[in-house]
Amino acid sequence: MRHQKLSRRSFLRWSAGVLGASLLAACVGSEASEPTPPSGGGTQPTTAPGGTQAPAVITGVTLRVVGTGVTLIEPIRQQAEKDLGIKLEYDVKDGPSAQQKAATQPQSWDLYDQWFNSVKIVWASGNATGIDINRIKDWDKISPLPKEGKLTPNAKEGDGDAPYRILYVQPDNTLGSNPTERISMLPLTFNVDSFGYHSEMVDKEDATSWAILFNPKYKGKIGLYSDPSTGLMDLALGAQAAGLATFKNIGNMTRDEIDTIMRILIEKKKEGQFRAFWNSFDESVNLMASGEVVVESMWSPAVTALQVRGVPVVYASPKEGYRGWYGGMMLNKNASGKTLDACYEYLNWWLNGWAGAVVARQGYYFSIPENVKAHLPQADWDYWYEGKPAAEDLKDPFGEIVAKKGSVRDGGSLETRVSNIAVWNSVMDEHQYLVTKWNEFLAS
Amino acid sequence: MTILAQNERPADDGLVASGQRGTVVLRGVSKRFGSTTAVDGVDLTIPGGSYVVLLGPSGCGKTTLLRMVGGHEVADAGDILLDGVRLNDVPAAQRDISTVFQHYALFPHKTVYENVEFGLKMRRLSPDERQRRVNEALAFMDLTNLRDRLPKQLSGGQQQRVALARALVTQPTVLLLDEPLGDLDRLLQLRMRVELRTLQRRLRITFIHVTHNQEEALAIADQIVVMQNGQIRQVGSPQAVYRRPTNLFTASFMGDNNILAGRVASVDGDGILLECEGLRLRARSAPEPVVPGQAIHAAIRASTVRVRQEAAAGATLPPNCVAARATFVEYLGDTVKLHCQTASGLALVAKVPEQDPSWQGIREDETDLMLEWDEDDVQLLTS
Amino acid sequence: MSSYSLPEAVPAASSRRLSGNAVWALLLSLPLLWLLVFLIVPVLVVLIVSFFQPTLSGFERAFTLDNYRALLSSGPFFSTLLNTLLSALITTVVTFLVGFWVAYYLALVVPNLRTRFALFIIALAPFFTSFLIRAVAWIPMMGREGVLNSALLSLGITSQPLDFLLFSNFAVRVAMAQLYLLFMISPIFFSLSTIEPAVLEAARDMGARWWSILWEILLPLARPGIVIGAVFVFVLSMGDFATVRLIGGGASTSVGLSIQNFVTYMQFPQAAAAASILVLVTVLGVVLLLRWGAIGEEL
Repeated sequence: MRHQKLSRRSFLRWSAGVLGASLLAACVGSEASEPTPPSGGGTQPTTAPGGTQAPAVITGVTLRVVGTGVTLIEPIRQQAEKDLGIKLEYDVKDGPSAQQKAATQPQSWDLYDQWFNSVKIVWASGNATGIDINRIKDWDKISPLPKEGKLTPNAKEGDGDAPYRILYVQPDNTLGSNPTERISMLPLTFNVDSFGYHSEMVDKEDATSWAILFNPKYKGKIGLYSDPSTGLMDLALGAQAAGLATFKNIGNMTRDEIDTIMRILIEKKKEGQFRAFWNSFDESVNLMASGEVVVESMWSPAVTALQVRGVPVVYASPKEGYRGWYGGMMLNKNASGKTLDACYEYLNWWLNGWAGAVVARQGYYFSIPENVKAHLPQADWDYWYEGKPAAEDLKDPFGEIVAKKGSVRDGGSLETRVSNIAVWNSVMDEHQYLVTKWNEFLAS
Repeated sequence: MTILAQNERPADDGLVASGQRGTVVLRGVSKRFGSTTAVDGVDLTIPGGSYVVLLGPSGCGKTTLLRMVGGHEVADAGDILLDGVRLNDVPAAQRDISTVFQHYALFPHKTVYENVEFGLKMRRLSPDERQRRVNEALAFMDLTNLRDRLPKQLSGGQQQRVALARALVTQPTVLLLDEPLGDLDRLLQLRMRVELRTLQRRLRITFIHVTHNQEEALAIADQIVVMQNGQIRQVGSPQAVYRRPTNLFTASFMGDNNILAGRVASVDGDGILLECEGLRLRARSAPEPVVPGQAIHAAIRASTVRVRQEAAAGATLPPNCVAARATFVEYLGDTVKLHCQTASGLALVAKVPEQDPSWQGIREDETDLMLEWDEDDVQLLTS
Repeated sequence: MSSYSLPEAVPAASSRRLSGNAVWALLLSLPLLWLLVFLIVPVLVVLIVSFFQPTLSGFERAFTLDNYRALLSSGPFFSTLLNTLLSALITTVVTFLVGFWVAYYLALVVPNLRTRFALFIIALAPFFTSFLIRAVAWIPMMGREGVLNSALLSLGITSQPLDFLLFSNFAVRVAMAQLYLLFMISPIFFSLSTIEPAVLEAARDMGARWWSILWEILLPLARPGIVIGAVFVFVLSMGDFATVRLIGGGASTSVGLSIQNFVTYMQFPQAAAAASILVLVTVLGVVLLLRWGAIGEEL
């Protein structure tokens, strides 16, 4: 959902599937499940230091992973198959569709690769089971952000479903922050989102605050995400910054608060403040590229995509803070035996940082930065994690240039950005009420 | 009766000398469709108040000619005149001519009443006037009790009467009928052709009727126009066309003619002697002058051939007389057709009335017969 | 002798007819089965689910009227329903006004069959591409910096780009009309094609002008096609959500889109309740359309 190049990618996936299958056959035939070192080519992360030797017991197992295009990408799948000697089937969907499948079709997946803001819903469906942290080798190396809520002591914790609040499976099978040995979702990738703006059409000053979404100067030129949980969060941050409303907990609003913000939003919508609501990554790129909007709530790869196309878009660093999201994987309660073993192997493989290095070059951070650093060329590390100017032209995992030499990542280093999280993508207690109201807002 | 208004028109009374209205004159009328010539330089005068039938096989141009008169097709060349007025550029709707289309072309969604009313409505007559005239037309065509039916609820004959009422309600001086009996079964055809003829007599307007059925043409027409390949082959009364075909096409198309190919042997004051494959014929006259030695066709209608059951006396027979045997006796009810073969192998057909004793007792291929006919009945097909 | 063969022939024929009937019954039961499996059962399931209690990730099998109560007491839902209805009606009327003339041209003006067929294929051409591509193509056409706005600006017709050309009810209705036009053209084309040319000739012969032929002959005879086309377009636009989503960009709405949103966020009972209401209104609309068509036939 976050970065979809469907046609090319599905072709890649298909051809790689054929390749993988024959490779697999070869592996099984020779009983040799020795990890193949990743190619050291310029676009690939550097070689894993002595990749994990897969236990022969899981060789040949097929894992079905349902999730989004953010992390279900071909280079990762191929590498994991090679390293683990298993077969991986990626079922790539947009966020809501993946969530729907996870919640309604438990027989169709083994691992669910999505975001923490869907944990409550999938957990509620009863299709997932806790992940045993004793079987996660690098558990202790995972940064404190998802475990305790903060990366640095001075950082903001952020309202809403911060991962640590719903990470641990409590004895009564609910989710909470009290550490136990079982977790709902293994935290892997994360990022902080804000809005992009067209630097030639928007005053830099205006773009320092979420209030820009309600700024009459940009009336009719605002683009928003049509998803209720994240879309509303952005608007709530904007309304609060503009002094239109206040929220006790912006990540978990009360019915009254929802009613208030909706009243404001409907009024603003009728005044023509908002130009369009997008549903997909491509749409969000097109809206800005075609000049329909100059300020748009969007994801960081979309901003990168626009910059590559020569559209002068800047990803804002609002003073109120970012909207954070954390991704990870959930385990199907039906996984058992070899499949369960393979699931854990795959989760451990992910934590070794090779995959984290791939997604790093799409602008996403990883739970164990040090593991990523081992797999990422220095120039990429400095640009994406440290917020330093690019030492050379940098490419994304698919070989396209995403950062020209000398450019700097909007918002700076990981630490700076992640220390300023205002709210996390969340499923509120009043989620169902919110969905209904959001529908009404879209309909007004 | 409005539909008979022809009588009441003052023009009629005042123009006795110039003949009845509804005279259609065609001068050099031609029509091509792509590379085919449908109508090829037709000259024809149709007298007002007459019943004219255009007769010919399909593709002979008769329907195209009719459509040009009706204004549904534009002539490429020539003039079409109605009572002296050139019609070529007058739209169909403004010609004093109505058409009964092939298959009637009734408006399927309109009732009988609405179908008949349509022409009057288009002429913007007042509702009262419309009602009066439609009711008269319906009564005239005996359709009053069917007025609220839709066409699909009517029989073929009823549909035809509606088509007639619809065409006549606007009081045309010429009525064009394109194969009007084609959709009817045979019994109804027989009845309707009498009715058509009667109708025309009552209305005294010009009827131009297109058909490919000779019998129908003979039964109805004042004048038959025989057409072939876009040209007129013969024009004449039914008797003239039937009895005195002047050309091979007419003779063969009118049916039941024995057609023999031969050569003129001699011409004298009393008649013409022909030699046709060993058979000698004598004819009283020819439509056009002939000279000895000229190749020619002759036609002898089957019904003019007399039959006697006797063997040839051996001596040479006189002209118009030949010995033969019947190969097949075809019993048709009111007539009997004898298919005969002469000694020289010529096939001849004789048709005798059923009551006539001459055919009784003839055994196929056994009984010796003598066939003979009058010289008046030998038609030379010169044109 | 021939009378002997007759009694023999009868049982043979009737047994043949019987097996023929069985085949027919089987053939006829297939569409019925199809209807049952793909129409009646899903509708029933939707109806049943609409009375269930929604939960965070689905529903509980507990009877409730809350889903309907919430929708029917909600102003926005009603305005959505009205807007959907209005869009559907406008789309139906617009596709009729445009589609009739396209069908008229194809069926009655184009003289030869091959040209007619070629033009029909050309008319179909936009439908060879996927819906998404066509919808996305609206942005460079109708957008703020799109072809149409650029043309209007450079011609001096407008001084500012017209925003309503995209992401508006207007845009959605234009797009739906374009999208569903074919469903109007085809049935009208087929009913106009069945009109005997002689019928039109007869009308002209009796003095009917173009307008009268249209009013007295073509429109009444095309009525079945018009009604079928209207039902198609009406039903399709009532259920539309993709056009509304992509072309409306959030500025336009429909019940279909609401249902899609409910489904996306797994509020299945609300989705089912909204769907049931939508189906009911749509069926009512279709009944009215058909009745109008039938009344016309009687008159």
